Amino acid sequence: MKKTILLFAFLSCVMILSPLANATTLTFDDLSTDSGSEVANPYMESDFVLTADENGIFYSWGSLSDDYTGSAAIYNDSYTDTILTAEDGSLFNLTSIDLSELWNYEYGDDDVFDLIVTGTYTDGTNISAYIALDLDFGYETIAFDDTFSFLTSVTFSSGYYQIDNIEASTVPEPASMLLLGSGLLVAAAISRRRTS
Amino acid sequence: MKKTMDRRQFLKYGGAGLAGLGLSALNVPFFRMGKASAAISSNAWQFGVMSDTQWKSTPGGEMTCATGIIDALNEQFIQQDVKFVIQVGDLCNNESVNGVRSMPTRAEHSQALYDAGIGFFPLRGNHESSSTAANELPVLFPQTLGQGSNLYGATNFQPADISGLVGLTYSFDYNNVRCVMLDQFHRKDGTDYNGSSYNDNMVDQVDWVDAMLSSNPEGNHSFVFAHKNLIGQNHKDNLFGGGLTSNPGPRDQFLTSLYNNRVGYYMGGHDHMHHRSLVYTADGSAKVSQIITSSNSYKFYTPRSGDDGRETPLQHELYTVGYYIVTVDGPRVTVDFYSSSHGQDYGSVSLYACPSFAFYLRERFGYSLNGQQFEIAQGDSYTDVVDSYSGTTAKILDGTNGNSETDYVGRDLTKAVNTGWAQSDQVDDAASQIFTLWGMADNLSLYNGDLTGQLPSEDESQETDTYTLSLTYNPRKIRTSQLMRGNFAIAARNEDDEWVNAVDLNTGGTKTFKRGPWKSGYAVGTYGVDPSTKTVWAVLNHEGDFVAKLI
Repeated sequence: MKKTILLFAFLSCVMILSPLANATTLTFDDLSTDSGSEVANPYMESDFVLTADENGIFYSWGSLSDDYTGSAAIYNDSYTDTILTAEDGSLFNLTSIDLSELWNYEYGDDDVFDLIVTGTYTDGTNISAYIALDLDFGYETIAFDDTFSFLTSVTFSSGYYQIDNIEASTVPEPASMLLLGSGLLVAAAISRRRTS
Repeated sequence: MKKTMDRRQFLKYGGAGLAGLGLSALNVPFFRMGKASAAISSNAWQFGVMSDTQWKSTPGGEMTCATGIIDALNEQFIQQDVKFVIQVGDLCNNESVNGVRSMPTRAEHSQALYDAGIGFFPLRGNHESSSTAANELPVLFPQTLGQGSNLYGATNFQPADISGLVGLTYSFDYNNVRCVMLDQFHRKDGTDYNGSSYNDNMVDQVDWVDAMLSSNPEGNHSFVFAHKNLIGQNHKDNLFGGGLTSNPGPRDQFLTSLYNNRVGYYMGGHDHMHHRSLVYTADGSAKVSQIITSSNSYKFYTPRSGDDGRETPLQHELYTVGYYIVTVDGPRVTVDFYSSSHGQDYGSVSLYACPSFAFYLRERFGYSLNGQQFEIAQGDSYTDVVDSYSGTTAKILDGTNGNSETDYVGRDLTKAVNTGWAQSDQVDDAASQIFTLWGMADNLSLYNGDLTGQLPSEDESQETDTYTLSLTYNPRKIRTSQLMRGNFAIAARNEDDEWVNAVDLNTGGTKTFKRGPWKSGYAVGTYGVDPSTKTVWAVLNHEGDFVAKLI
């Protein structure tokens, strides 16, 4: 019986909270142009916000550019950090991003184009991942493990790269889940006592 | 590309337009084709240097002073808007003519400078070496004492610590420069350091020189002037005695002091030719940049062989009449050498009339207190030239000293490549500090006695060896979207002082933009951006001031 109650409480948490885990992909398709253009800072799409730090500027290559990958993308034109947050301030999980070199030319063996992706937790601590582009012009998908979960923000360090298809999902705080789960357990216990 | 122009057209220099010609209707032009002004900042200023002004007979001179040449040079200095002029001795050929002293005539012909608000600071030479002349000079030129009405901004006059040399050996400051002026001839009281000859008269002045140089505030320039040379080319008598082996101890102590105190140049006269070299102590531990100044007199000397291995020749030009404009721009100093034909067929002649002059920019060289010097021998690579300043690194990635010329006596010429820096905020949209290269050009060839004609007849070529220059840029100073369009590049200043793509100032070549790093084999005119290393680079064949910016 006790096990049944616990299972019921857990499933209830999941069912109640699952609509709040809002998975989405920032595609930047609305930025598609022929000749390229500046992009407003901050940039908003699908309940997420991208900010070019220090009042920087975003840019998107146009489809006629030699440096267009085939999909509209965004890059920081001011060589500052780029910061991803949820529009309503929610915590979120970063699942994956597509990264590409900024320019389409023959890279040398010694060339390095890299960045550091840093996720920030509610207590202010960080988790970082170093990424070096493969120097084969075009997108490569970078997947993030579950250490990039329950983040307040993600910072993409300054550098030369363009970003597309950011997959992320907002989630409630773990403390909230725990409180809800506890409440459901209490409700189930009271109900059982009345029945007996 | 070099432009052709009317020989009689005047050029403006810096912020100065044509000065009034005043007393003179000489209308003597100077030409500075295809070359930006030496100054970058608005705080830059200039002084002039001239050489021996002996004359033998009239016309063209008075009282054995080359007054025709003096007047022409005065006009040049006025046009060039200098603050003062230094003459390194031999003011006249004879101290007196039929019992009448000559030096007052020389003094009269400095009045044009005073009238233009320009100071004049002379030295004696061996042609006015007597104790009579020693007493005469400070009277005629009280500014050597720091007195009189013709100081025009020169300050902090320090006299010699030998009473017989007061007003003859002296030091003064102007703005951020200290000039140390040395007299090695018979003293006012008729004495000499070591008997009746003045050959050793520098020995007891070495400590005073060191005191003047070592007390110069940090960040200021110092220059040392005297009549005789550290090592002459025709004359073997020199500042420290009658020959190259004279007084080696005090000589090397003197050279070491100049080296330790970062003296920019030692400038002398006496030899009547334009000559630049590096002069070393006997053990090679210290070196000084020497300039022997071009003749301003009726005669011209020819180099003779015989040195003791302590000199590295850099450049020279014979049988021309020349002067020097020294531009001081903060830590950067640029020297422009202008010269004119002496009016007769090229060669070592004695002049009996003052020629019509047309002064051409023959070479430009310089240094900076925030830069370095690299000695590049013939056949050596320029890739040792690397320098950094306030976040910007400049490198020469490729190129070889391809010069094969010797000096007149057959010694290989070496290039003294100097680097220097100016702050980026002096250029709009600069993404790097401003980098200057001097000493890459090595094109003077007027030292062949078989040449004919009135030479020089044009500016000397500014073309250098082909080399590749790279500069790092600040990525925050250039929009990423603008980086690879071909209009972000190494820029240089053209003759109108406009910043243009540096490859546009090459001689020949094809302008070609490349994405990515420089690669061996790229031809002159190729330029590019390497975002991986955040550098801009260009294959060039000229020198000057460079900066990374949008063009």
